[in-house]
Amino acid sequence: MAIIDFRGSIPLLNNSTRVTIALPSLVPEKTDKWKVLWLLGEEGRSSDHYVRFSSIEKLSEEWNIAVVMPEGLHSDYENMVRGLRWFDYISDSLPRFIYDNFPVSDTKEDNFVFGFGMGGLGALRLAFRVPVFAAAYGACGTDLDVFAQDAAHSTAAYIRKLQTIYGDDFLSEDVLDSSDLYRLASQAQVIPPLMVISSGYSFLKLKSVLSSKARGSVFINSENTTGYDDALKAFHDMTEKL
Amino acid sequence: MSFLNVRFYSNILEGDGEFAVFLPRNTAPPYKVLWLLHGAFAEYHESFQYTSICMYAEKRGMAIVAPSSYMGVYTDMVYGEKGYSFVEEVVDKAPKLFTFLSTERKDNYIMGISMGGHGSFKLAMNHPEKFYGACGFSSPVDMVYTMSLLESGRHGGGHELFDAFGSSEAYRDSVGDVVSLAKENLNKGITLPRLSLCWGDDEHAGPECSRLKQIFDELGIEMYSRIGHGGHNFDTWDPMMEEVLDYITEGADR
Repeated sequence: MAIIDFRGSIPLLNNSTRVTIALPSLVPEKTDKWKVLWLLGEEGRSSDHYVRFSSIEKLSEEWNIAVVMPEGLHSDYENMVRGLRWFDYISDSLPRFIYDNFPVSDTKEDNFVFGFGMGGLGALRLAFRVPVFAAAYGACGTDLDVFAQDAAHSTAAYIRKLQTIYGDDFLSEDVLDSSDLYRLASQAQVIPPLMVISSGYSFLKLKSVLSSKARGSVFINSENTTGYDDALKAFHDMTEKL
Repeated sequence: MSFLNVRFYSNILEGDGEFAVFLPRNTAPPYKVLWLLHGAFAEYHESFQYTSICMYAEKRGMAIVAPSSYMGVYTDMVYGEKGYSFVEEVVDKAPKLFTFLSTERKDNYIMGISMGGHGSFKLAMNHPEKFYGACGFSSPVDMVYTMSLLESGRHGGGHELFDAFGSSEAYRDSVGDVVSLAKENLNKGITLPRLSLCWGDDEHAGPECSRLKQIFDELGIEMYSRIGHGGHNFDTWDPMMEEVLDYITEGADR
């Protein structure tokens, strides 16, 4: 078992960042690489957040799976109009960096993506845009409808955040086509196995958009008050059945 | 020698903030404090990896506190992170968390590398009662001027500077307008920290640095400056750090 605290600049991000990596103690043979769970961080949280607030190190050991935990500031893991290219980073340069430097498998069947909160946005966008990246994708407690027009999504601070990430025209067709989860879901030709743990109208709406084409997916209508571990275990159980 | 990595929930960042604390050997607390600000697009670790600053601080019985300021522009960005308020939060919080850090003015110094120098002068001019000395290396201290260069196409910086600072007009007379704050402090008869700004003879920030030196000379503000040999990098800055520390700490123990 090793916990690695990486700090430095990874291509495409062009800014120093941190990645916490948990590796199980059973070192894989040369030909036998670890499976890997990409566990995307919550908004504003540092890369070691899950190590501090969940049992991820123990679960990594138990499941014999490497866990890579990048952070994402307040980016929605999107290529920001005013900021860094977070989506390119999590979908391209970070995986390449990890595959090149650690004995983890780059085959689709061995890769899994999960995120809590904002991390779930990254995980679902990856699922819809790059379904060949991983065997399964999951989100828990994620604000699925970031472009909603309700009171919670209309505060000055929230509008400023949308402008920062998506540009001043954050409700334009172009932006919605490329970033709105419901549009991405309905446009996607292939939907990989998903797990979505959430609640409310935004959850039911995504479930209904996906219902006809997301076979093997699991939708759990829950506020997830039980914390990180239960959601991670549910996701792990799902991946075991694939 | 001890080295602490501190992470805490920052209400300013609405997320996790981070800073490092270096403690010197052979010195009894309370320690003098060197607040160390890194450059743009980096984190605190670069200041420790590419300089011998811990050795220089230890010789002088100084602790170092180095925050990781997100994006490293030391500004509450128009679009982005609240980098300046966060560093103010660390300056306020660290001595409460670690009571071995002295809060006396004569024991507090602030150093910034590249863009960090904008931060160190900004902190020093907004809180001259907190810092005995402040310095920068190859720093665009006067960001109002740097923004005006950018606006007229005479600066190599990118659009991220507009996202951070808005415009030269918006930044003028703000909490980040170091030159106007310096004048204001002078007019009020406030004692300024001992100041230093050094840079290299082969780099892009040279003209901005020498212009600030000239402005301060005209205002009668003493600021130690030397043009070292080299470019905008740690090779140039590290060899000048000890003389700068000697200058900004001079007279503190009298």
